[in-house]
Amino acid sequence: MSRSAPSYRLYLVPSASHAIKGESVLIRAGIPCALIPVPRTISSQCGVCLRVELDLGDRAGEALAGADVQISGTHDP
Amino acid sequence: MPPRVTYLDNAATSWPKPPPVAAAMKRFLDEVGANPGRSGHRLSIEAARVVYRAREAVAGLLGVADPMRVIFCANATHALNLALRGLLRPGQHVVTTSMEHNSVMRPLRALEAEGIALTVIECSPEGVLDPTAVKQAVRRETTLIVMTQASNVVGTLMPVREIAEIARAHDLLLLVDGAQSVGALPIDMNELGADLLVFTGHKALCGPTGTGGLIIGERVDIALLDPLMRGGTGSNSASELQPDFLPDKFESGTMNVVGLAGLEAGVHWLAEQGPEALRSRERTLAACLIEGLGEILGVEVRGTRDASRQLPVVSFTLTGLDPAEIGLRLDEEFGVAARVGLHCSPIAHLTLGTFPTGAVRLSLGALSTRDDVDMAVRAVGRLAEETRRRGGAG
Repeated sequence: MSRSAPSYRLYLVPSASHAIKGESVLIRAGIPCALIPVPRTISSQCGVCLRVELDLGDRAGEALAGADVQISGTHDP
Repeated sequence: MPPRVTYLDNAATSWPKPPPVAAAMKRFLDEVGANPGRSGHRLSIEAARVVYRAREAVAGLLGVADPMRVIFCANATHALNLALRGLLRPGQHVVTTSMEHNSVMRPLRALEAEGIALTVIECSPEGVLDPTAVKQAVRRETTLIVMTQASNVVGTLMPVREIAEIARAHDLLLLVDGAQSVGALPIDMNELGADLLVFTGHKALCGPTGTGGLIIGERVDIALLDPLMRGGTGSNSASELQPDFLPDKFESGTMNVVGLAGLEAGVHWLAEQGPEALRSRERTLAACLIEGLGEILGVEVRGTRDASRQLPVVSFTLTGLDPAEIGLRLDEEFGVAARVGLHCSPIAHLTLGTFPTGAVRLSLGALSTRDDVDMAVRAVGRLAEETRRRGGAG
C-alpha cells in the first residue's frame, strides 16, 4: 500500500522576522514546520513562508494567532 | 616591555568581551554568512534566525513581551536620532536634562533650529535631577521627555521612574537613553516606565561595536514614528513604499548580522551571570575606586561619590595636572586605559563644573577586577604625589 504525499498549508507572513517568530512559536507548540520561499504562483514577494502539514494547519493557526504572529494570508492545496 | 593593560574605559566600550561573543561571530562568518530576509535558501533563513534570536535575547533581558518591538540600529546614536527625528514635529516642545550626551543634545539642537521648542533642566553639580523641575517645565505643547538613565560622565542614576509618572500624568512619551545603563542595571522596561528605550550592544551588553537599537513601547503609535531611513527590507518587495509594520519599517538595509550574533552571545552571557549579581559586584568595585581616589590629596572625585547612586563610572580631576596629561601618563607609565576630556557631553561638564578642561574617567565593566581598581588608585596616587612634589597640587 502506498502512502499519499502529505499536503501542506502555507502561512504567508509580512517578512522574514515574522517567519522566524512563527517558526519559533510552532516549534514551542510541538508542530513541525518548514520555512520555504513563497511560491511565485501565490505571491510575487521574495520572502519566505511557513509550511505545515495540512492536518496540523488549524492547530498551527491557533498557535500563531495566540502569539500575535502577523499572518498576511494562508494557502491550502 | 609595555605594562599589562588595565582597561578602565568600559563606558566607551566594554573590553575584554566574554569569550562566547567572538566565538558566535566566528561561527556566523564561517558557517552562515548569508543575508537575512533577502532569499529563501537555508543560509538566509539561518541568518534571519540569528537576528531573531538576538531580538529575543534583548527583549527577554529587558522584560519586553514582543521581540518585534526591538529595532536594531548601528548604535545608540542612530537609535536616538531615529526616535527624536521620527517623533518630533515643529511646534512641539521637548524637555531634557543638563546631563545628556551629545547623541541627545546634537539632534535636539538641530531640531530646535527646525522649530522644536526645547527646555533643558539644570541638574545639581553632582549631576542629580530634581523631578519637580521636570514637572514644572511641562507645558501644553510638550510631547516628549528625553533623558539618560545614567550619566556617561559620572554614572549618576537618574530618577526615571518618577519622570515616567510625570510623563504618564501629562500624556507625554518618555524616551530613555540607556547607552550606559542597559546591561549594567537589572531593567524591566515596563517597570521603568519608558516608552522608548535606547540601548547599545557594545557596552554593558558585552556585544561588539556596530550594534544597538531602539525598543518601542506599546504606548507609541508606530504610525506617528517616521523611519530615519527608507529602503530595502526584504519584505513587500513589489511596493516602492516603506513597510508600515515592525520591525521592517525601521530596519532598511542589510543588517549587521555578524554583530548581532555576537550581541546575542553577550546578552546570554550577561543573563547567565545575573544582572543583579553583576551590578552588586560592580557597585562594590566602584565604591573601592571612589574611596581610593578620594583619599588621594589633590584629587576631587566628581558626581555623587556614592556607588549605590551611580554606575561604576568614576570621573575625577587632580589639582595641578591637566586631564589630558593624566590620561597620557596613566597609559604610558602604568598601562591604565582611561578616557579624558569632555566625554562627548559638554553640557554635563558644565553642570559638574569641569568645563572646558574636562575630567579623567575610569569606568568598570563586567570583567573588571579588584586588581584593576587597585592599579588605577596606585597610579593616580603616584601622579598626585609627583605633582605635589613639583608644587602643582594643593
